[in-house]
Amino acid sequence: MKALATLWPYLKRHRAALIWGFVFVVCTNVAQFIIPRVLGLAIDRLRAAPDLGFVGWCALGIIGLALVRGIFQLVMRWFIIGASRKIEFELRQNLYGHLQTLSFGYFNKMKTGDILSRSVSDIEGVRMLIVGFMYLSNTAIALPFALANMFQMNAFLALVSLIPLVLLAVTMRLLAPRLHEASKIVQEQLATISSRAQENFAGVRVVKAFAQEPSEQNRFRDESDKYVRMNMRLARMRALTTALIYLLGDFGILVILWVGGKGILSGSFTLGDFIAFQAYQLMLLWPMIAVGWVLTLSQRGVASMGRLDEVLKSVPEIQDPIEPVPLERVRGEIEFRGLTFAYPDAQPVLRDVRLHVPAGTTVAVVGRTGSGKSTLVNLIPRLFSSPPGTLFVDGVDVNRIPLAELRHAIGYVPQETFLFSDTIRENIAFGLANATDEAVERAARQAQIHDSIVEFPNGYAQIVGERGVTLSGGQKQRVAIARALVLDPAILILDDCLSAVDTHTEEEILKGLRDARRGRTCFLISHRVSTVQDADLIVVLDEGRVAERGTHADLIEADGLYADMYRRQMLEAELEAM
Amino acid sequence: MAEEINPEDEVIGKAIDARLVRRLAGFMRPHAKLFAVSVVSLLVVAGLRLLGPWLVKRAVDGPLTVGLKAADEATRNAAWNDLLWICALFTGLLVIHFALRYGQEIVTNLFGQRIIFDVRTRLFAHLQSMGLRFYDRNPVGRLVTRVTSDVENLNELFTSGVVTIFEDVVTLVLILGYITITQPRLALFFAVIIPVLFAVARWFSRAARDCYRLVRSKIAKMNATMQESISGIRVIQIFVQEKKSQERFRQINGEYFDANMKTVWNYSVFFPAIEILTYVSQAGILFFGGWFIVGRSLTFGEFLQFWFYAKYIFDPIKEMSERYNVLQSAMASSERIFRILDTPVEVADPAEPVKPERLRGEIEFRNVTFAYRPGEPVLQNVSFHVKPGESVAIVGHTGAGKTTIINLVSRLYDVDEGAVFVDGVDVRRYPQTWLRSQLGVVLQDVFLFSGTIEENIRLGEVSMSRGRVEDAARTVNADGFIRRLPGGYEGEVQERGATLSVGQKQLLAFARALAFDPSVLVLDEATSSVDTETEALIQDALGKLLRGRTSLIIAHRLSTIQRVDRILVMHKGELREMGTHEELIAKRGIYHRLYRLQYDTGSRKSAARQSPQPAK
Ligand SMILES: Nc1ncnc2c1ncn2[C@@H]1O[C@H](COP(=O)(O)OP(=O)(O)OP(=O)(O)O)[C@@H](O)[C@H]1O
Ligand SMILES: Nc1ncnc2c1ncn2[C@@H]1O[C@H](COP(=O)(O)OP(=O)(O)OP(=O)(O)O)[C@@H](O)[C@H]1O
Ligand SMILES: [Mg+2]
Ligand SMILES: [Mg+2]
Repeated sequence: MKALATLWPYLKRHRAALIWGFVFVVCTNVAQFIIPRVLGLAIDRLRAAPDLGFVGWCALGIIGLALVRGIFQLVMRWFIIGASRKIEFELRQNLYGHLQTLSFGYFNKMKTGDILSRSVSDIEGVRMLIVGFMYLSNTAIALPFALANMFQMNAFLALVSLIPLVLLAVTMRLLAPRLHEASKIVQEQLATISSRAQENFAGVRVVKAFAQEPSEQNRFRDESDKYVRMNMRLARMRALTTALIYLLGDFGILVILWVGGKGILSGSFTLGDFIAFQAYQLMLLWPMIAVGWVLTLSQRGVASMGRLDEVLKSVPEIQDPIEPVPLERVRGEIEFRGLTFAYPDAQPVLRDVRLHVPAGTTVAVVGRTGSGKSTLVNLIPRLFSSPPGTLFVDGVDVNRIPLAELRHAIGYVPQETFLFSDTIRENIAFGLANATDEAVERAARQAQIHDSIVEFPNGYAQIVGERGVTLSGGQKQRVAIARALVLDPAILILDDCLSAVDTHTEEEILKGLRDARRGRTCFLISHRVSTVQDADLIVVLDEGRVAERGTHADLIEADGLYADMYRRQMLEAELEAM
Repeated sequence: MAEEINPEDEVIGKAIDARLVRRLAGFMRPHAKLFAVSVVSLLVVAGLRLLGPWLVKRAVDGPLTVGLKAADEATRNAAWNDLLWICALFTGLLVIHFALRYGQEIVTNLFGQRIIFDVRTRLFAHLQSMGLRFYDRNPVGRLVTRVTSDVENLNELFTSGVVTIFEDVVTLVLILGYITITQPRLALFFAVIIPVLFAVARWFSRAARDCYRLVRSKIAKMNATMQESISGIRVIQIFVQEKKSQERFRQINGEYFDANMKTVWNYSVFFPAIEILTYVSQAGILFFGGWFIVGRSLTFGEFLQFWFYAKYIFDPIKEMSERYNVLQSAMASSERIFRILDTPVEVADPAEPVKPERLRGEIEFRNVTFAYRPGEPVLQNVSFHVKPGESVAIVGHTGAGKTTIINLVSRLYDVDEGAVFVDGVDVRRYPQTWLRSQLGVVLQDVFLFSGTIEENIRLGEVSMSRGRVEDAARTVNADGFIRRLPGGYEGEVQERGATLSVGQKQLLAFARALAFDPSVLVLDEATSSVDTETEALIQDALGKLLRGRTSLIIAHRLSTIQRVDRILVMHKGELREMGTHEELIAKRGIYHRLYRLQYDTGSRKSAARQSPQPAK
């Protein structure tokens, strides 16, 4: 029930519709359960005397009741199911909104498919809770109504004909969880098949290059085979359930035939009563099936709500500070003061980093693969949280700067380019609410991508595919650079964003950036000496520590790791020539 | 932000398309026995069910009427005995019906599942044989839909569609036939009401179909939006676009809501409408039945029997629209599935393949011209020759066609003109998988599968020993960081390797290529995100390994290729220069210029400005 606490405010907001819906559940049932009485009356009258007029009135009465009932039912469905859809909408919107605030680390733990299934199946599960409530209250009202009528006619027969109905509800209650369990397993297996296929198609180049088609086919066949077996298990459960529903439903007819027949023979019961009973029995069939079914549904709904709660209640690791220190205008002075950082459950990746970057200077970061370069720059926009008192922007601890203000001041080009499947223009203007065409073009020119863009059939309106697949590696990187430059940020972070371009294009971009960098603080990560040698300061990271720092000339002089790297990138012949 | 929905995904055609049905029948043929059993048992089950109300009629008109009128004890006892007999028969009927229905459902499902299994594995196998051109054209999401939802729709067709519709029709025909024979006048009434019912159901299935289509396309769009914003969450957050992204989502979420509300309205109207019609028909039975009872042409038992039958007829009609949708979407799905199965294999294996023991590693391009899209050639008349054991580098600007050359060697695409020879044999004469298993390729774009580190290195090659995996990792200097990961080689790779550094991912891809012990090694920017020190270590380790093996190496960082025997310089799809480093420097061409840009560090700025133009 705790899980439902989250749902409560939503229910409260739509209480009017839900209450009205409930009122109409009652009305629908009142209208419905008079019908068999009318039928019984007509039959008995017919038995007694050939009074066709009365029967005609009864028939008209049934039609009238059916019409009224139909209208009530329409209103009931519209109110309750409509409200459930509205709640679904709000729930999903809130889920999405909350996801946006969760920090990047959260998504490392949580698979995309998992989040999607929460947004789709679990929200549907919660919605069915509300719809189930409609069916349940329907039964809750139908049952006493029908029973009152039946007991009035013949208490003993009413009791007896309850037996198959109760059996039906109990059977459903027993079978439904198993059915649900079996179908969950089937769904999970389908999800497995789907992600197998997804990976296979996405990684088709690797599959083909390594001639893995036969083994992939075997694995797929195994999974499909497993799926068939699981489906058959589900099918057996289903077959049992339907066969039982038919059995118990018809068993009701049999019981009334037997006991009611005896009553007729002993004269304690009329044929009209007998027929009315049969009609009631038919009418109660579905509500009784619904009870068992809805109980399972509600269990499922509660579980779904729990899973949604897990997301909704998870607190963003990275939030606005409680006592923010607003910055007037970010100048871009950055200082690391003895920063040590570790990802959760791991050894520290950065150790005791001390580094002062005056505003407007360019710092290059080099170092081995996995030495912590990306981690270092990711801390500046607070993608991960640095320990308090270790990282300062303009003299203020980053943890105390309002998040939006900090990030607005930063232009970031991630090491792995991510573009949205939208036009190139929208991708470049992504961070600006109302970027002018001039601004977009200027940024594109600075990133040396303008010329390529105008060669596309649709120019800036060209749509890039999923993750930007229709662009070459170098083009993707340059669009991402333009996206950062268009912000005109005080701090520019370029994480190895020239790795996919040739030296000539690189030179052009660096030339463009040289102007763009003016007056900005710039972090430049690269493995190429040619990229970093102009920097005001070069920092060499080694296993998370700052091993060397200085200008290109200083570091060559110092003859350490950097000089080593420099020499490695020189060809033998060149060295001889020096 | 969201991907546009391809109209092809949404085609919903006719409910029954003879051409498609014929092809589907092809898949049914191997399981004809199951089908026959399923259909026969279904007929029996449907027939048996109708016996119940008939027994009730017998009871009401027989013992119940006789017994009630009888004054003497004996007749009443006889009536009671008769009633008991009927009840016993009824019980037997119930048991048989229960067993048969249970069996029949299982057989039907088995039939459907067998077919589905065949279709799914056939489809997947066919997709595996498709060339890369096909994958260039078709987004991954669409193909996944083909092997999952589309096949599932077919399943619905076989298990709940065809068979249940068959049952409904049989029931309807049997009941109407029975009524027509026993009570032709009452049948007239049914003849009026049933068409009305069908009309309502048909109107509804039209409306429902449109809604269904709308809801499906909206949900696809909503999921795509959600998926993309989760993948791009880092970019959204850094660029502080959470609000904008929420607004976008609110819009599509709202569209989905609207589509759903239309459906809610349709059902809210349809269900009551059908129920009203059911009651109208019951009222009709009451009135006409009463009339005939008065005229002595109908008994009370028959009246009750028809009352039951009315319910048996109306219940399926309530679900008819649902069934109709199932049929339609199954037809549309099978159309899409067949379209893929009909797509010819572009890169096919030869009829009489050549399959030597092992490749020596000689590669030759003879006047190769190639275009990804017709009319836009990417390679033009490229010719070169690589001797066995030689290591050759390919350099050139972005988009010059370097990766394309590699794609042609491993025959991921077929050339348009000219030919590619490996060991003097046209690559088109080898079995594809064999050819590729001889080449160890490190692709430019790293792709990691979900699974452990070890599985990512050895892929589906279960027989590969752990030692070999570790050797490969050690060669590329990845062993160290792998051991430091939680779980080491058994550590799970997060989605797309989120917790590895980019260079580390590249090293894994490299290790993968080496683990397969290839005759020819092909490296496409294999170390672009790896530092030079690690790269040098790898090269040292590779030195021994590569002795006697051919290697093709693509790199932008020229230090990567300093040990190669020969260098090919690509420029705009043409092979412009070829030779050793010294020869190319001496030539003062494109290579010389690339080289200067990277290595003229001392006087860099001035050099860059005056960098020599490529030789004329
Ligand atoms: N699958 C494809 N479909 C259509 N065009 C393609 C495809 N792959 C590459 N191209 C185009 O072919 C040309 C050559 O591409 P290729 O990948 O061979 O370049 P490259 O020399 O490897 O460049 P890079 O240094 O960026 O890797 C480019 O203009 C590219 O846009
Ligand atoms: N999200 C994460 N969770 C846990 N560990 C991580 C995460 N991201 C990176 N690491 C680990 O932290 C270390 C440093 O990674 P980082 O990405 O900072 O390296 P890098 O210097 O940028 O390397 P490269 O040159 O390959 O890009 C690596 O060992 C990596 O496996
Ligand atoms: Mg990095
Ligand atoms: Mg390439």
